[in-house]
Amino acid sequence: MTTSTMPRAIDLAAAEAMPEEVSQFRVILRRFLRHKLAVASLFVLAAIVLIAILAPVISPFDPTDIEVGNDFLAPGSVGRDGVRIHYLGTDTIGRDYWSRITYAARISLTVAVTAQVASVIIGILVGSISGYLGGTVDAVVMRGVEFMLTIPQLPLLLIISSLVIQNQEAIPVPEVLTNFMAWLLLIQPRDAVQVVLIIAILVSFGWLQDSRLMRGVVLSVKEQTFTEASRALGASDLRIILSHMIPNAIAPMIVSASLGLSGFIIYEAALSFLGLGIQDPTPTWGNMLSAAQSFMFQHPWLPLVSGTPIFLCSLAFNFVGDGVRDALDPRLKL
Amino acid sequence: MFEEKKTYELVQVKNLVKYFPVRGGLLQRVVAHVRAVEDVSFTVREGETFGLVGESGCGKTTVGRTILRLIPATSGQVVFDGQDVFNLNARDLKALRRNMQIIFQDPFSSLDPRMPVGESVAEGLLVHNIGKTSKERFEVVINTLRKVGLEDYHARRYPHEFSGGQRQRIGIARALALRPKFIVCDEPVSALDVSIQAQVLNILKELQREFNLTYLFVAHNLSVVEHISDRIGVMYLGKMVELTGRDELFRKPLHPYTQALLSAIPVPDPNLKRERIILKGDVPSPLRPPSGCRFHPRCPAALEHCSQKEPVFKEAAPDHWVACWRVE
Repeated sequence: MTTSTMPRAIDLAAAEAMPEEVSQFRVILRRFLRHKLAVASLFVLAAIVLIAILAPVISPFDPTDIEVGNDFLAPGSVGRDGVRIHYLGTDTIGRDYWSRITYAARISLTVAVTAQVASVIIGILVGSISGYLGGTVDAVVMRGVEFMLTIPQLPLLLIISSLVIQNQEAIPVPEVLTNFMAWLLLIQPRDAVQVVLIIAILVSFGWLQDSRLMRGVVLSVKEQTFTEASRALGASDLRIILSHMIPNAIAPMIVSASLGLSGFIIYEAALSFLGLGIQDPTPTWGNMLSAAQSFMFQHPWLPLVSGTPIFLCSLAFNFVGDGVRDALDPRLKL
Repeated sequence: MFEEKKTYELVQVKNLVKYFPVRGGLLQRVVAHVRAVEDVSFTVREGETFGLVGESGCGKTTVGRTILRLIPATSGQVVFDGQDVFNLNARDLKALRRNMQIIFQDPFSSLDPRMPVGESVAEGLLVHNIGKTSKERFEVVINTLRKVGLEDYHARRYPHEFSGGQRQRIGIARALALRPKFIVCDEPVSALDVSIQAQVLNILKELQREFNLTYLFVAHNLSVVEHISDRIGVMYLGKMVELTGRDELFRKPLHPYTQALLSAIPVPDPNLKRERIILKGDVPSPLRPPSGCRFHPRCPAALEHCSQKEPVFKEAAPDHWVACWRVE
């Protein structure tokens, strides 16, 4: 057996043949592309995002239009006007299922992404301040965060959500936010209030893990000599946080965010499923599944169609998160 | 004129003390102090290299960092170029930092792994608003990198693409970019291969000549210190035990500890028979240093009263200071 046929840990010839200047980004991209499931998941997500963006173009019906009497139409049935086709049939009260699924994609994804982005921003703020200042501030903030993390989240989310949804008129939501959401999601500003509130509820717990992660990074970076070097150069705390702490936190934050997205998809679906999230007529995958489950045995098609995107999305976000983690981890040099 | 320049005392360290509190118990109360630096005084003259040697844990690194106010001193005074370093407000301190810089021991953790090295070198320029445009700053960075023997294109690369010696040069460039007067070199070569050590030391020497730099050179390797220093201070357990010119120290060491250290320097001659002074025991804990002279439990020449009274740090010969009861 010659050495040339043996698999080697490192292909030296290939390593030497590598071009001189390989940018960080290309190295990371190459590592990510090696992760087949993650790449496939990325395509799935891209398709879902595309559907969400193109919702008004590719859906033949208004997602809230009811064709009285045409409930539970089979997929492919012709609509009342005799022209448009219900690709996926109609739901329990005669609304086009395909149109509702595409608009729901827009809403569910927006809720998850917005909640995650807001969580990361709050997490970075709280985590870096707490970790950098240390001492009493750190102890108080982190004990608070830990306390909130020990509470089982779903039951608490349900309680908060039911309180909020019942009293949503009493809660002042900035009109800018609701108008923006209404514009983005193509829904009524009145219904958009709910979306904003649900996002806020999800964020109220979502930032906890992110802040702990950020604090961990800050604590480790704080002990590195380059932070001391910055102080010796005269850099302010703010500069050290902005130019050293946050860049070093970006990789773990991206990983945590992409893994966290699937959690938000599930939480939003769960809240809507239990009737305590975004309410009908605004379509989300969760409340569509909820409406369909009562007719599960007569019309198994409906819960299958509304459940699949939840399943696909959370799985895909998980795989992509895994792939990003493997690609960004500098200790993993293949 | 030249003589006068040589004797201008750029850095004066007076009775520097640094205790690190040790916290314990449920309430994290201070239960003891690590007496890292105890009553250390010396001066560094403009343009010279002052070597600070001692075993691990003797407080030599702490001295360097307290001088730069990277860690607060417990008491004492440091005067840098006429300014009392410990009593400066934030703005004056920032201005002062332009003039005093530090080079670290560990070339791996001293550079931000997520920052191209050019940006690391430019950080000080940004902090002090040197150079109006990024192009101007880039010029300074490139020039500085060239000074330490690196190439222009290195500026875009990340630390992990460099060897230890190269990274140490980047660390030097970062300190040098501000054109400081004084640089604390905190064991800058102890993490490097011997062949690379020489390169880095030579770069430091060249830069000293070119920019009239003053160094406080902290090290535990006497050969390195001998190579680069003009004057040398020897520390033991937080105290300065001997301080004199390099040649004087190597020719006529007065303190028994210095003598033991010098006898431990390896000589590349297998046939040479030497009398080595082997010290007994370990360095005592700085938590509870020995009474009297801190070196007495290990001293081969200890007298009776060494354990009771602390020796005074005095000038035994011209410009040769020592703290030992044996020396009169």
